[in-house]
Parts: sequence; structure tokens; C-alpha cells
Amino acid sequence: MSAFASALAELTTLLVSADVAGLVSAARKVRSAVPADNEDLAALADGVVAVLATYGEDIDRELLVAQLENDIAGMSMLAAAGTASTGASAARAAPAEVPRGLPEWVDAAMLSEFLDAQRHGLTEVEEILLEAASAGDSEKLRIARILHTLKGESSTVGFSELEELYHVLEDRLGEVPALTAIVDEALAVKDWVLLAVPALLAGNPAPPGRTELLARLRAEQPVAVKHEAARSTGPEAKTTIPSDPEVLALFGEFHDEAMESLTQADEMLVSIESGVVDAPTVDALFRVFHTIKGLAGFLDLGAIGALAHAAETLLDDARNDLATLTEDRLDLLLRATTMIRNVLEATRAAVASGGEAAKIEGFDVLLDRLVTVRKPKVRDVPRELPPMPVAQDADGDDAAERRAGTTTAKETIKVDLARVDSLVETIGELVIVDAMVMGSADLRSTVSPRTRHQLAQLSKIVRDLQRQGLALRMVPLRGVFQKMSRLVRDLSRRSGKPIRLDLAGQDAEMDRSLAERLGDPLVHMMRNAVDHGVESVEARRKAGKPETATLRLSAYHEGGNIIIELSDDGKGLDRDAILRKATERGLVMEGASLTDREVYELIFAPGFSTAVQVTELSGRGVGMDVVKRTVDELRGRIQIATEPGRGTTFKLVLPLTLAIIDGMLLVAGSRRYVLPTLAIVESLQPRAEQIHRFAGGAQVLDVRGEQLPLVDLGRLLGIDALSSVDPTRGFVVVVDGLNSRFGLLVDDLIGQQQVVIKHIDATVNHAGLFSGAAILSDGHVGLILNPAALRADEPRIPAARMMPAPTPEAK
Amino acid sequence: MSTAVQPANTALGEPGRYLTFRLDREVYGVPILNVREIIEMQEISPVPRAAPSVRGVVNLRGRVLPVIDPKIRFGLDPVEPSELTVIIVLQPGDSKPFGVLVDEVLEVHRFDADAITDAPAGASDQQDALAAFGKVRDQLVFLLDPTSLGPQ
Repeated sequence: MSAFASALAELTTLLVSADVAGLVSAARKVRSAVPADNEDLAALADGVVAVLATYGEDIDRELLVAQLENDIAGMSMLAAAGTASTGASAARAAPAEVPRGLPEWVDAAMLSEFLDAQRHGLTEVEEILLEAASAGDSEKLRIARILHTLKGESSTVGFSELEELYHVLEDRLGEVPALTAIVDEALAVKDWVLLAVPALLAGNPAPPGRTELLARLRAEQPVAVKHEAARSTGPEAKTTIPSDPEVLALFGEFHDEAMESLTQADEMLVSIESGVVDAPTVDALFRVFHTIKGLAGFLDLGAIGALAHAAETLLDDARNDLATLTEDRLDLLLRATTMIRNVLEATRAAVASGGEAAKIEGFDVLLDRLVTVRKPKVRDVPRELPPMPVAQDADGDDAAERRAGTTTAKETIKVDLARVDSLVETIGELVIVDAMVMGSADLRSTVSPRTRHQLAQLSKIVRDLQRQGLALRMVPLRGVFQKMSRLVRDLSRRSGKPIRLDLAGQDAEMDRSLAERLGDPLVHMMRNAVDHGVESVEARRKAGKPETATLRLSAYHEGGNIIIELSDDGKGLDRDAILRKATERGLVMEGASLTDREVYELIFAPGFSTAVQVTELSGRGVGMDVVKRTVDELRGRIQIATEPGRGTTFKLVLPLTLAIIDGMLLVAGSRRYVLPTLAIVESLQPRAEQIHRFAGGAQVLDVRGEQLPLVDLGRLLGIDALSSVDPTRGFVVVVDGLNSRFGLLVDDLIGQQQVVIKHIDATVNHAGLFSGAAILSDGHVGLILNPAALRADEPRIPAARMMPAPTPEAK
Repeated sequence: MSTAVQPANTALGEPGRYLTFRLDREVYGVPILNVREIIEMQEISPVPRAAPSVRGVVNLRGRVLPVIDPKIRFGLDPVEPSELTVIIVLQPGDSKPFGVLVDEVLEVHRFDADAITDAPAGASDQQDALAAFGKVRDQLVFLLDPTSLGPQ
């Protein structure tokens, strides 16, 4: 009997006793008796020692004994065979306790399952490989699948060493023309894994040889070759989408999902850049690219697949060593998300038109850099970069928490938007009819109290239905806001100003169609804030401000509206500069005295810019014009608050939905009109001494010392109104028309009412005085006044502070 | 989409079924395929500063429908509401529906090829509206292009 066999026998006899110390020393004896050339056996013995070393009182004794018996049987078989690595039963060290260093969700049962699965999978791989000569493509695919599973399992239990090896082998497998080319490497991997698993399970370091294996596998696939491979599946190779309708339908879903995950990826990347780097974030990022890669492969979108693969490879490095996630690489990853987005959009356009996807500029360069960045550089040229902006959630929930939230996402279904719209519209009609029924005079006089009660009940349900119907279209602003954190990061980089972005109220909801349209104006506001609001670092230092500027983007509900606020702590609006520029451009007459409010609103004029220089960011004067136009179209308004040296706040007040507005019912002549409540500042009954008529024409209203132009609604609409004759018998509604306030003279105010907006034919409404129509509670149609158009139409007061629009005579 | 059994649109001035109506003493016709429905006269909310022939808008089951007075379009006196006045809701082709105010609706009549003659050039100031002449029991019918009646 060999020394090993006798040591093993001693261990076996000790099994029945409770003497742990004896067991441990017996196991050590076994280990030391292992013949030098038998690595497998050594590994197994190591495992046994390790298991016993971690033996504690809480361990199930029976289980331990059973495992040890198992291991002893394995060892005696190995010893008998005297071979190193061919036995499939090599690794049998099922752990009694989870080794330290593994993820906390991994328990003993999971590890033993893992062990079985690895053993089983590898045996299968071996079988296929040994018949490689006769194996075809389907066998290759089978191996690829097994390897992928093994890789995934390794990742789940946190064995990154195994994972990487599998990953590289997988890559290699994808490149070789025939299985026979990698039999040797694959078998070597298998042998190593079978050795490593017991060691890792025992909490020991992985046995040596992995680095060599990796080098061997990678040597077979030099970077240049890999690069070529990625390239050959680039956009040149796959610019068209298969015309298979099923695949096309899938593409739509893929597009939406990919866009969503890319936004999340952006957020994570920005947060990593700000220094918050942890393994779960990297894992989540990896998964994003991995999923995109997989789907892109399935849909034959080679370009996207190649990019995602390159990005994934970088992230895989990071999973092994977080330190590899350098600024350079992060930047490339951010560029990759943008590029994938562009390619996706181009592809979608191609799908829509049935043509070929346009080649995206810079694609090859980016792919090239993504691949080459992994090659060690001779010398890293340090770049001067501003500190990274941090998107911080001022609500207090940090990124990790939010990610946790997304994994337990609510169940959702996808519904065709047209169906939702049609449902909401039908509900709108129901609401109108309900109002008509409830308002009907004969109903009120004839029905019994019981019926009335039931009708009231019905009405209540109709309102509930309306609320729920509108909620169907509501989406949180999170998506829009997340894009902004990426934008600010880029802007900060480009402008060289360190900026931090605080976000608040991301869960506030608004109508999807509104939220979608918010993107553009927000981008312009951000640019404006970074370029004009935030000072240079030197200027901030001089002013005694922190070098890192803070932008704060928040959303909240207020009285049936949603408020979106963007504040900066920059230099504030420069009243004099704005006025000077406006005078230069002929927007304001020389020497005119304007209120602060009027001056600030000049920045919304088309083509207006105070920027001394047109920069890459802004200065062409288009941005704020877009903001104003969009807000007007959405029937909202903008308020500006600014303090020199302290910063500026832009406040967008927007309706929650485009389908329904709060309206004030006005009367002019015998007709009722609706004015959006959002546009109304106040209403009053004018006294004779408040109204002045310039040369018998244009009227001016004096409200607490402020002179407002007075628009006579009756005259404007060409109808006979009492108030036109005697203004003191009517009412004045002070309207916030953005460019200036004005008073709207009407006969009577009926009250506020929520109305469903109906479109009216543009050919009917060619004067643009109305923004739509509403069905009033008596079934009649009430036209909705467009505040912006009312003022523009009234004859200007000569010598007004604002210059009149250029007239033929003025030319 | 669904396959139409009949052509969606009767070609202008072609034989087929027409809805005939009266404006003052003359009889006019529009292809029945372009007629969505006929609704009774109701209060019309005027749209200030719209084209004169636009009488206003009405609430058609929750939708806002513009109503045209063809007599104003043809340079006649406006339609005077009476017990016989109705609104014909037209929807030619893919356009949005609109209402046309008429003095009286008469009948749906089938015009065969021999009952239709092309409108000679210069027969009317409203040449674009007039598609052809039709004959019903010796009564002349002006067959109209419904598109030309819509809000312009």
C-alpha cells in the first residue's frame, strides 16, 4: 500500500469519530502523500483540507461525512488510475461552506449545483471535441452554447477567473474555421477548470496555468485579426435589414428596448465617471451591451453587434479589474452608446423607407479606437480635462437603489399608441355627453332622487374613467432627465467648465407626447445655461464661488400643471448687454425704458444672442427661440428669475396633458370663448379712470401703475360686444402673452372649466386666433382663444416701448 | 386594410348614384359615396374672421365640424334656416369631414351615362365646383365636385 493509500485509509476510519482535529491532520497527511505529478489529486486533497479547515459547529455533520466519503472515493479512484487529468470525476469537492469572497446570494446548494453543471458541461464539450474531426457546424454551435452557459454560471457565482477563460474560448471558437483547430486549447481549458473549481470552491486561489492558457488562446487571435473580424461585419457588410416581416417587427421592439437601455447605460457611465464605480454597475453595463450584441446578432445588424462587442470587451476587462475603466475608455463607451443610437436610427429610417441604412460618419474610427484602446500604449499622453460633472439625484435615491428598482420593475404590456389615443378620445366624448345629460334642465325637474343619485354615481365613474384614461398616457420625466445628465457631462467637457447637475422630481409624470417634446427645449436651456449662465473657472474663483458650477433641474406638480425648473448658479442675466444687443438689432428703440421682465424676455426673440462669440455650444441665437416656441405650442409659459452674480432660474409652466386644459369661459357679444387659464394672470372690473384711449384709438389700461395694452375681444373678433361700447360694463382679463402682458376686454366671465381640446380645421381658422375648440357642457362649441395671436393682432400703440413690426412705410 | 366593395369615390361627373338637394330653386347633386350622413339644422357657432362661406362649427357627437354655406360660396344670399334646412356631412376622399348647409334634401338618384352631359367650359363662374349636368325627369341637376365645397 502506497503512502497515499494508507493516509487515505486513516482518514476514512476517522470519519466515524467526531475528532475534527484528527480529521484535519489526517487530511493534511493525505495531501502531503499525493504523488508530485498528480495535480488533479492534489487539487482534490487541497479541497478536502480546506473544507475541514473551515469546519464549524453549525455544519451538518452527516452532510460533511457524506461529502468526505465522496471525496475519498474520488481520490482513491484517481490514485488507482494514476493519471492526471482524464478522469471526468476529478473534481468532487462539494463544499460544506460557501468560501469567502463569493457573492452573498451564493449558498452551498447553489455551489454544488454549479459544480455538477460545470463537470457535466465540460464532459460534454470533451466528448464533442474528441470527435471534432467528424463534427460539423451544428456541433460547433452546441459547444458555443455549452460554453456560454458555463460562462454565465461562473459569472453568477462570482468566479470571474472561469468566466474570462470561457469568454476568451468562446471568442476563439467563433473565429476558427473548424473545431479541430481548437481541440488542444479547449481541452486544456477543460482540464484547468476541473482543477480550479474545487480549489475555488474551497476558497483557495485558482491553480496556476490560467494566464498561460489565456495568453495561448489570445495569441491565436491577435488583436489585429480580431479587429478585422469586427470590421468585416461592420456597416459596409450589413446595411440593409432583412425584409422578413417577422424580423422587421422584432426590429421595432429591439429599437425601443435598445434606446431605453442605452439611456440607462449613459447614466451609469456618467455616474462611474464621477467616481462612483462598483462591480454591480459594471455588471449592469456589461449586461446592457451584451443584450444589445445578442439581439443585434439575431437581427443581423452587424454594425451594432460589432460596436456592442467591442464595448462589452472593455467592460469585461473592467469586471476583472475596475481600474482598467480609465477616463479614455469611459469616454469611448459613451461615444459607443451615441454611435449605436445613431446606427439604430439610421437603420430604422432604412426600414421605414425600405432602403439602405446610411453609413454613420466616424463609425469605423470609433470601432477602431474601441479595439485598439485595449492594446497597451507606449506612452499615455495625459490630457487636461475638467473634473467630471455628476448627475446627482437630489431626491436622495442613489443610482444603486434605482437599479435595484428597475430589476423589480412593474409588469407592463405594450399597447399601440393609436389605441390609447382612441380610448382617451372616446372617454372625452363620454365626458361631454355626461356633462350635457347632467346639465339638462328637464332631467333635473323630472327624475326621482333615486335616479338622480344613480346619475351622480355614473358621473363620478365617468370622471374616474377620464382620469385613468389620461393616466395611460402619462410617463415619468426620468427618461428625459437622464438624457440631460449625459448632455451636461458632454457640455462640461467641451466648454471646460466643471459642472454638477442635480436632478429632482424625476418621477413626476406628464403626457407622453408632451414629455417627448420637452427634450429639445431642455437641450437648448442646458446649453444656454452652460454657455451663458455659468462663468469660466477663473471668473468663478474671482467671485468667490465654488469652481464647480451647479445646475439644478427639477420637476413638480402645482395646481394641475407641471413645473420644470432649471437653475444655475452662474452670473445671472446681463440686463444691459441684452438691452444693448436688442437695440442694435432693432428689437427695441434707442433709449426705451423697459421693465426687467420685458428685457429678459427679449432673449427668446428669434436670432437673439448676447454671446460675443458664436461657440460650438450656442450663440447663434436659435436656442431660446425654440424653447419659447415649444412652450407656446404646448400652451404653457415661461418665467425667468435672475439675480446678478447669483444665477438664473427658468421656470416652464406646462399643462399635464394636451388633451384637456383648464379654461376660463368668457363671453363676448352672444358667444362664449375659452381662454387657457395658464395664460391668465388676473381678472378685474375696470374703472373708467383706468382706461385711456390714445387719440381715440388704441386703449391702454392702467393696473396698479403698470400700463397694459387693452385688446377689445369684441372688436378683434368683429362681433358686437357691450364692452366695446362701454368698457366699464365688462371685465378685463390680464393675459400673459410672453412678449408682453395685455388686458383682454370681454363682456363677462362665466368661470373655470376643464375642457377637452378638439382640433379645428386650419382652413376655417386661418387667422390663427384660435388654438382649438371645445364642446361646452350644453353641447355647443366654444372656440379656444390663442393668447399669443390675440396681442399680435391688435393695432400697436404708437410710441410703444417695443418697436412695431417693420411696415412698408418704414422701409 | 378592408377591401372596399365599391370604389371609394365616384369619378367626377361619372354615372352613378347622387344625392340631390336644392339651393334656392336649382337642384344640385353630389356623389352619394362622399356623403357620410345628413344631420338636422342646429345652432352653428360662428368662427370669427373665417372665410365668409364658413358659417361656423357644430358639435357632431363630440367632434367639431365646420359648416359651409355653398350659397355664399356661389355668390348667392346665405341659406335662410327653415324647417327644410339640413346639413349634409361630406367626406370626399381622405379629407376631413365637413358640413354643407342646403335648403332641402331631395333624393338619391341614379344617373346613367345617357343622363349626364359634360359641363361646357364657361358654363359657370364656379367652374371648379361644377362637374357635369345631369337630368332627372327633365329637371336639370348640377353635379358638383364635393371637394370644391369644403373649407378653403
